[in-house]
Amino acid sequence: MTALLAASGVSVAFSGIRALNDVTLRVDAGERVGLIGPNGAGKTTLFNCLLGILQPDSGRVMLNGADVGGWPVHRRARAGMGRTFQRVELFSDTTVREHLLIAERIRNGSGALWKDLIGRGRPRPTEIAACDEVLELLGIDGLADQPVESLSLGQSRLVEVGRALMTGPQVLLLDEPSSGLDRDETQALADTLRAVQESRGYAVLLVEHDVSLVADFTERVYVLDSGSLIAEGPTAEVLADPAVRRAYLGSFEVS
Amino acid sequence: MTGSADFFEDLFRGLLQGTPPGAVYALIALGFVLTYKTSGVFNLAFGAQAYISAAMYFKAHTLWGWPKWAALVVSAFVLAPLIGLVLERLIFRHLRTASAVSKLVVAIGLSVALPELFNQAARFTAVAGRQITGIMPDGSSVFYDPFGVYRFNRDELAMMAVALVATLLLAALFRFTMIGLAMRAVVESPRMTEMSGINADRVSAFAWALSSTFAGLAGVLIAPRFNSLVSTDFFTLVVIAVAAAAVGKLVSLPRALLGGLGLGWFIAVFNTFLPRWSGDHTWLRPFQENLTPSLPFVVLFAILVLWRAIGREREASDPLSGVDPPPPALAALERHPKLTLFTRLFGVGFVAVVGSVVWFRAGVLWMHLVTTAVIMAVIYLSVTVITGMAGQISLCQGTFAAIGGFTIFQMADRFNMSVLAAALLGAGVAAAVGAVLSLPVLRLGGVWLAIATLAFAFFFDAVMVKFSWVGGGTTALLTGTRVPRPLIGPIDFASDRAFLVLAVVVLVIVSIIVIQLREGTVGRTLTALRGSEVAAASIGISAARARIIAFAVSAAIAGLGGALLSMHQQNVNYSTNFGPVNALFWLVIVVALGARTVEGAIQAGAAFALFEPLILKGDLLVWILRGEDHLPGLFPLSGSWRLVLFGMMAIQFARHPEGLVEHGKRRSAARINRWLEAREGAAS
Amino acid sequence: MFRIRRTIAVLFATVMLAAACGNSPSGDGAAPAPDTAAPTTAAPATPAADASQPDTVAEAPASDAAETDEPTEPDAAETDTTAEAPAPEPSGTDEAPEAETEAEPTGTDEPTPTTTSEPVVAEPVDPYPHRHDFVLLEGVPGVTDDEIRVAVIGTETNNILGTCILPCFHTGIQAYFDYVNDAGGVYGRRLVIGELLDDELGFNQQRSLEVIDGNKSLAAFQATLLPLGWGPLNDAGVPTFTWNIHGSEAVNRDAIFGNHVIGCPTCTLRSFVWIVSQADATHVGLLGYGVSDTSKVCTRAFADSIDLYGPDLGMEVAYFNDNMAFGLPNGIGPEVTQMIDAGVDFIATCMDLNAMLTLAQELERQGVRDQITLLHPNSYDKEFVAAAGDLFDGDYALLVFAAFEYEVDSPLRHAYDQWVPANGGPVAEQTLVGWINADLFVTGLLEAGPEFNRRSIINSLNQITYDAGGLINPVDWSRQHTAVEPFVYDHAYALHCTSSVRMEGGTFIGFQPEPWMCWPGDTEEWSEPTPTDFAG
Repeated sequence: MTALLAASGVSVAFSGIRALNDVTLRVDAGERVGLIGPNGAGKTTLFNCLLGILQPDSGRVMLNGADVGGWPVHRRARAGMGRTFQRVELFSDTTVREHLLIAERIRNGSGALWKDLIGRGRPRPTEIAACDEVLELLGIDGLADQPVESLSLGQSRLVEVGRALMTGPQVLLLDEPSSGLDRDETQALADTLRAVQESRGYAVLLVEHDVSLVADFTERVYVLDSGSLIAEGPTAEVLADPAVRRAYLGSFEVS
Repeated sequence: MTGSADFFEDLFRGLLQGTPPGAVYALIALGFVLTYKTSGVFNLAFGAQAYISAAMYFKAHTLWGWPKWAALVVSAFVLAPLIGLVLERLIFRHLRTASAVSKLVVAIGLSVALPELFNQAARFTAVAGRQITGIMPDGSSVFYDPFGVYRFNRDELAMMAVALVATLLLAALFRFTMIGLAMRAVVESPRMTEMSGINADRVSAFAWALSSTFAGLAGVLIAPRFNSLVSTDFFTLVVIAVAAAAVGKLVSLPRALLGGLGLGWFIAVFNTFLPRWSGDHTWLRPFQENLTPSLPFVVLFAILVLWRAIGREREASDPLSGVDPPPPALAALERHPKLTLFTRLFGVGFVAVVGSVVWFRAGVLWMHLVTTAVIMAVIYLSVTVITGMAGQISLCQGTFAAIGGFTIFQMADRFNMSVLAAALLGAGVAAAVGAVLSLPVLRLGGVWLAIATLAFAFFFDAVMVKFSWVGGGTTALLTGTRVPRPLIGPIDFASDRAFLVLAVVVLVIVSIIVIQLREGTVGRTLTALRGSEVAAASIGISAARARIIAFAVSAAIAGLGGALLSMHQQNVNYSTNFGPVNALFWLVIVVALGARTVEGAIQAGAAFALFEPLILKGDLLVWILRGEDHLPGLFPLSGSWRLVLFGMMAIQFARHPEGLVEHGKRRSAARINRWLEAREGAAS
Repeated sequence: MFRIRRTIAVLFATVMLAAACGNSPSGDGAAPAPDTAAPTTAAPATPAADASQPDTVAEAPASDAAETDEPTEPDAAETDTTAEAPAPEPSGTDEAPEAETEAEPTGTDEPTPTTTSEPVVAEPVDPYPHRHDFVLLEGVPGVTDDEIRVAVIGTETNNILGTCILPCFHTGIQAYFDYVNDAGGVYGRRLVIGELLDDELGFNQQRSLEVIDGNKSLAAFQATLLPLGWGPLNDAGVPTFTWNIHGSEAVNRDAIFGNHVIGCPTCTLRSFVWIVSQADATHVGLLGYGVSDTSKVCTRAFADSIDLYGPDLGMEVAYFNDNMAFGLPNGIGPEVTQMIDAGVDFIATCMDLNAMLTLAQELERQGVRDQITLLHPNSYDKEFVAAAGDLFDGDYALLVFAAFEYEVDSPLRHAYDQWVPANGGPVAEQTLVGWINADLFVTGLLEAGPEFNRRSIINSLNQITYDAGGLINPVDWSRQHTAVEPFVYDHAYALHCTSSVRMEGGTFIGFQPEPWMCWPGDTEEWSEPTPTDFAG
């Protein structure tokens, strides 16, 4: 079966230093996959290669069997790769709903300059309904008309997720969603994420160093260390592997 | 054999001849890099700072007869650092974490305001025929000939020596001293620096004093190359020197020195050989003719567009900025319905009253002024699109407007085309130029995009306007670039009133278009891009495509406005209306009053045309006081205060990108909202 | 100050084009022969001469509009025995006014002076015997029973050239008005500058509209760098007298009058070739700014002139470059080296005076300053040349008016020499321009008759030829409002004239036998110029 998202033999070097060394990874449809590793292991670099922010020196990135190596970020996004950010990236001076509306408009591709000029560019009722559905799903429908500047970090994360969902992703790449959140907030986020994922059925690639979230949320996990994959497999097994434990912060708690 | 010996002698002489102007570029590039390194500000106001010191030196030495050393000390070592300290304390200290683009806007505001402030405060004007003497005794008349090929005078030697020594000293400062390290650290992360026990405020004050002193010194040293002091010449020099600074990616001092010298050498060698070759090869002639005057801008543009390294680096972001407190929540965008109703009614009433007063009472002067205000509002809507919506700083809006003006001039002059049709055509041509221009500069973004547009504006100014199919050539020489007013069926817009109606109609249409765009896909896409480019890309927005559209739409609006302005004045009046420096002021006045909204653009148009007669000349006060006799002797104030005032207001852009008026409105709206809600709460 | 390099470039270039090309449409054989001295030449309005009315019937009407004879003190001074000059007598009592020896050939008479070195025309006739007739006028803007008010608009603040424009222009006009008022004014009314407006470089249109809107001035005077208000003034029918460095703004506008007209920018120039021959030069280098069409056209006209006349006179264009960057920010080293290599011994430029300094210094640096003569289009500035010391020795300057270094024996010049210093103005181009403009205005008033209005002033000026008493090359306003491209005799100067001076030791000296050197305007053929004095 063709993988939904696959990286094969990806290597990247920054001024001579190997950041990624022949990394291969795959995410299948509907799957929840984790990517973990200590700081500086190359998680972000791999993430950027998958998304097209960074061009790997060698290796290929495939989406639904197509080589997307030369595609710019926005084209990969349209092809089904949604994402969130570690440092929240929202569109300032807009409301929560507007975030989702613009993503919906880009997805359905019905916007055009001439339509704007004749006044047909405003949000349509169907679009608004679609957005409100997602907001409800995420449990932030009460915030729809809030300017994003007034949101808490956890709420902002959910807005990012909602925005990514509006692009109709086949795979959602979550970049350290727990960063900056306390344990309760993280737990709440994890619950929401799982609920939404189950109802929508897209695949998830979670980059995270909060191992409890990874353990809780993912089915399968990849472990990166110093640019190389040192383990992969079902989450529970991998996390139990002593080699992984040694490499990764020496030790950690698995709840 | 002799041929090649001659060639090398010529080459060598060319290099020597290019060294003094190269040293000028190098000095400015060094200062520019110094400011960028120590404060993170892309300081287009560097020229303004240099100008002030040069003017002060000229005033003290030439006009007051002070000895040179005293004039030098006061202008470069007292006044210059003082200005730097004031700027740091009042402005830049609070902007350390602001984006590079907003700091650039602040610098543009300063470059508009500072020279005029100095001119007004010191009552300084250019003086013809009084040569600016350099700091060396007999600086311009004693020559030295180190190689027996070309002689340098003392002032030039002093300038070259200072450039070289400054490079070495400053490089050593950064490499070997604590304060040097601290200055760089403060730019990269003020908070991290604070944590390591360094007082960031003090370091940044020192950095500004240092770079400003350098600006002053550079100003005094290069002043003898100008024979009359005009601030815009200094501004132009800075734009050119950006090319040299870019060679060092804005951080390397030795490379900036080399970049400056290289630019001087390149131009001199080019001027030595190209005429010779074009004598032999006629196909070179057009290149020589068109390139020579604009060479520096072409070099700048080429470096920006072709050198992949530029614009690549992400904007330096503080690794600790994640711990910043979130920005203060904006005043609610939602208004209380009663308030909305009230403001709408007030707006309609205001427009009706002013409109009828103008319609029934205004003479030719006020008709003219109001029409100008309306047309400038149309042009300013182009800034609303590119800066307010897309978040890009374009400094060539004047050029787009000029394209509109020249199009109707050419079409009317050559083909007798209806001017209204020609105006639409002009908007189309401007849109095409805007779209084509945006292609090479797309990947730049931010500060570099602004500089590229400025280089384009200067290029248009130096090269394109000269072509007879643009600027009119001999026709314009004989009869100017006169433009007729339109005539539609029985309506002759030669009448000022009819033309005002036409201008208002155009303004309304363009306003509606801008609002539709803002509410529509284009506007919301641009808002997303402005808010976060990476996030926009992550939902499938193509930044390139969106920006091409933004540039094209903005250029079309500017072109239409430019055409309208030319019809209004019945002349294109390129240098008065559309020169590159004018467009700077346009940006300044729009961001000062509100770049995000249609109202902001209209207010800016009104301010552009009406502020001078109403406020500075005192007409409003006369009306209030019921008679000219009561007018304080202070009036009329110089029109230059416009530049000072709006330049200073633009500084607020960094903190209130929505514009001061918009900011004030939001604040008071929030207050009234609260009051209304409290009252309703009490009632229920 | 908020204007552009390019503006400055264009302005300088325009000034210089005016200087270089102003007098000089080249002939076209088919053109009708001009009558050499333009017979219709109007008398300058010079009023000092009240010989025809020795008792000075200066009808300064009292407030009741009665025509009270009211000899003022100056009038007393103006009776035949003018040993002393009119009231605000400046420096030496025995200088200026007494020098007004001879009468205007065209008719204006002078109080007979004591020093008579030249024949005195016996019975000068005032061509405007009605000059003091008072007629009650209603509804003429700026005209009351005792005053005729005008507006003066010009650039003072933000003058990027740093020259004295508006203040000097204003002084010239005010001095002339004093002079006329001193002799009883015009039509029983005093001439008054009612509005003095600084256009701050950018507000010329606005200031002009203020004048139109206020309707308080009969006429407007303009000395500006950015002439945006000329069109509106013309359209409003306001007679407008200008420092005409903006040919294109004056062309085809019948209410816009200048201190001269820009004839044919593209035509060849015998005057230029003649100066090259005066310098005994053979290899000519030409420099112009690429940024300005005016400058390019001017440079091209110089080159065409040498191409046309040079072969017979042994001259050639050895170097040509009309692409200099404005302000010479990159210096002029390579260009000078190339000119030396080409054997250039004469350089003419279409550049501003500051560029001339840069050029001369570069010549000095490369050791050839004393082998190469320069032609300055725009350096007739005493202070500037004095500051340069001997740097410009042997160079030439071209002017559009009779240089002060030449004796022009006209009452207008003599009165200028007296009244301008009395008003604190320098004897310099800009005060002379104001003076000439004011005289042209008064001439228009007098031509229009006592029942004048704006239109009648414009119309009557547009029927005469005016030479400011020999201070300028005569302009035939009936046909010279129009642009000349390609050359059409009908709209050009009848004579092609130049008034040039040489620079020595930091000052100017006249070297021509007469104030003007002229060529016939009906032919392009080379000839030696005729020394001419329009006043004589």
